[in-house]
Amino acid sequence: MINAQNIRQGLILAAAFSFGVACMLPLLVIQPELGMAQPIVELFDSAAVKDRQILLLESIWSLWSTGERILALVIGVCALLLPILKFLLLYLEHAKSSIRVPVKLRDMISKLAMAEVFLIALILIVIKEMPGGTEVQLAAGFYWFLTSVVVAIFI
Amino acid sequence: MRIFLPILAILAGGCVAFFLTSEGPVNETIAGWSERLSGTAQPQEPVTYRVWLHEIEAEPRRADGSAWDDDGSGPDLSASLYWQETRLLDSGVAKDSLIARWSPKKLKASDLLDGSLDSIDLESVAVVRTLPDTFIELAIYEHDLLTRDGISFFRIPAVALQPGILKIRASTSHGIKHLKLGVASASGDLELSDQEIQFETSEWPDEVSTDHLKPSFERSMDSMSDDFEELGEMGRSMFKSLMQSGTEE
Repeated sequence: MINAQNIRQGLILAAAFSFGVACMLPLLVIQPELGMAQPIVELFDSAAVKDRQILLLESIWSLWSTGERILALVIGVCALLLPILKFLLLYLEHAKSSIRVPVKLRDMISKLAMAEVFLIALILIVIKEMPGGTEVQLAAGFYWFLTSVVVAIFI
Repeated sequence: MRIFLPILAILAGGCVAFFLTSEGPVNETIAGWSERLSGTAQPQEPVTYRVWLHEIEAEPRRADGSAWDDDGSGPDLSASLYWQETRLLDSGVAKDSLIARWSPKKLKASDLLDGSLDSIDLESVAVVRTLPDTFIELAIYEHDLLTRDGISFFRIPAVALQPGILKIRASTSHGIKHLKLGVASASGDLELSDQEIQFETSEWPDEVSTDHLKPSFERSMDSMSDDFEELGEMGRSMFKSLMQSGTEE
């Protein structure tokens, strides 16, 4: 029997699935463009002019391994753990569960779980402001992430 | 148990994305299925590759057991790459090396000065296509002060090329252990893939002429010898005396 509750549960699972896909796909692709200097830089460091894919998990690991552990923890909690917790609480709220979820707690987690939106915006702004013709392209992971966020809004 | 469904959904999404984007058995299987669904496998279209000489490893001594150079130093190796009997690439001479290596990248001061620098100008590669019945031919030379001697010749079918390092073993020792060719796709970054492909039987077959691999001076001499040969005994003796006088000078 399809009712509003079942639809909501399905939407939560769909949003969670999209979030899982987004975590494993690149969110952004940075395309370095150094103009006249490109061939010379390419000669000495070909990796420096290659397109670079930004994955959420990879970025967190990169921060952790380069010593930026506090930042890695903050992003890891806000971009990974809290969204998972949010989906879990939303599902509990809409499933026929005996566990009661305080609304305040859910709202607080929902706000914090939006930190990755801020991060993506920050990356876009920083790179767009860089000199040269370097471009940032949104990749598949971003759209999966967007789907997850939009679906979660309608729940 | 149902409360873990969102976590399972997240994990499922992650797994699906991982398997669809990673190169592995899953993707190969999917490619196989799509090939079967679309009909029988199509014959491979010729592919264009950039090829360069990556490495040559020589034995410590010549095939006859003698030292490479009189002063006991290592060989001065170079190699030329031919496709369709046309020389496309000459490596530089790697002096006194048992393991000679070359880079596919070069930078000429003249290119920098004239301002028309393009990324293709920075590459020292041969561009070849995997046409059936064509061969990539490699002639390896050892340089002396004035001359160079061809010490080993390799010949592999062009269709054997694929991106990565193509390691060609010498099955009969002419003083060369193996050579490695770098193969990269026709466009994009000129990067050497870690994938190493072994190629075992590649020595020059006896029935195939190596004339086009000779330096232009040797070819001129051969041509002159043939012309004198046509004149019979008199021609042969004239050629012999001409060569002797040349040596004496």
